[in-house]
Amino acid sequence: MAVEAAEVMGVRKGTKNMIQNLYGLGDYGTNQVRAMATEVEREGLDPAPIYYRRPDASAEPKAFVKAMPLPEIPYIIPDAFAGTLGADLVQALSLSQLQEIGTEGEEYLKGAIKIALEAAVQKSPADEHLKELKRYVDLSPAWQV
Amino acid sequence: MNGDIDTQNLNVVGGAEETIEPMPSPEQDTLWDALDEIFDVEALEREEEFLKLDATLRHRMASVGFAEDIGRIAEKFSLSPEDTKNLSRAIRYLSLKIIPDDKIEMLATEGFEITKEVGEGLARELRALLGVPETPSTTQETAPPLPSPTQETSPPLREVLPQPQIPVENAPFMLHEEKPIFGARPEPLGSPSVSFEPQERRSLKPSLKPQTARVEGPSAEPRVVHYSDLRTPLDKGRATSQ
Repeated sequence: MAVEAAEVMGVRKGTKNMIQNLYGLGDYGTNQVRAMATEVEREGLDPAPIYYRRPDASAEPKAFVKAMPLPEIPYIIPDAFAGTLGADLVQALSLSQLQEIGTEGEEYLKGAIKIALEAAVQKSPADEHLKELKRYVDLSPAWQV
Repeated sequence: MNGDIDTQNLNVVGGAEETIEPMPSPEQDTLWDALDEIFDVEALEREEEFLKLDATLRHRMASVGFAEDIGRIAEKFSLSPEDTKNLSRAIRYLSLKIIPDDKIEMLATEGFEITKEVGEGLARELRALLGVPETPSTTQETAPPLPSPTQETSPPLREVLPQPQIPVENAPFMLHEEKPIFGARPEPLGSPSVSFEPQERRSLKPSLKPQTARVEGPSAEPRVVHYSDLRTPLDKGRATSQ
């Protein structure tokens, strides 16, 4: 069942084809996506494409985002940065990952990251890494609306 | 579904074909409400234009170094945090040609909370950063440019793209241009299939001793002359009839 759902979203067809169904996984909550990925894994398929789109659903979201291949970064679904988990997740991003999103990412992802970044900075105003990320996002023309 | 799968989160609808009913969290809904407020139709169109830009230019615009250059300019002209964001946005609009190049001076002198003189300096910095040459009117009005931090760190934005060729009718007048009479020979469009250049014959075997004609056969019968190693077996009857 979960495999069928994942197949509809293009998981079996490979990562690149999932771009066409970018928001397919955005209709589901974090726990739903996690359960779906677990079921996909149980059936012998690679759940990584699901986690690449929704790293918030992985077992260790921050560690997963840090280890993500750079070309996959711009295709994270904006929902991954929703709420408190999103504010936590944005802390794991590096400047080079933000640069990649600035070049290839689409506007809703940039918007979601900016919102999550604001929340993260409010939560931890002294965090130097967050300050660095925010400075880049504020200054880069690629991140302006 | 079986085992330890979190069926509560999957919210399975029963029946022969099981489906997962989409159930985004309230936090996801809140995020999308906020995004919908930020991105109106015009903003989406601008973003579409940005994604249509040459990948090299997009990469340059998104680079950390370019952002730092903008930060240095903002600090140099003591721009407020809000004006700094506006400066970055203005550079985006200039790159997308939403603001034409000839409006740089007006933008710099009127778009920020700075004096006109400071704005003129900012316009020069913007031109240097973007690689937009100064027009004759701007060079007459303005003082010599200050050393730009951008010149030390990174090339102007538009230098990262291949420069367009100036059309002949727009090229500056030239009384005499010295050109070499004998230029380099142009490369042929396609290499000919036949070469007239002397080549080494690498494939030839060492020359063989020339074959000499020899005569075989019994003296009583007609003689057969061979001029090569190839021998056609001749039956006796045919040989005798010849």
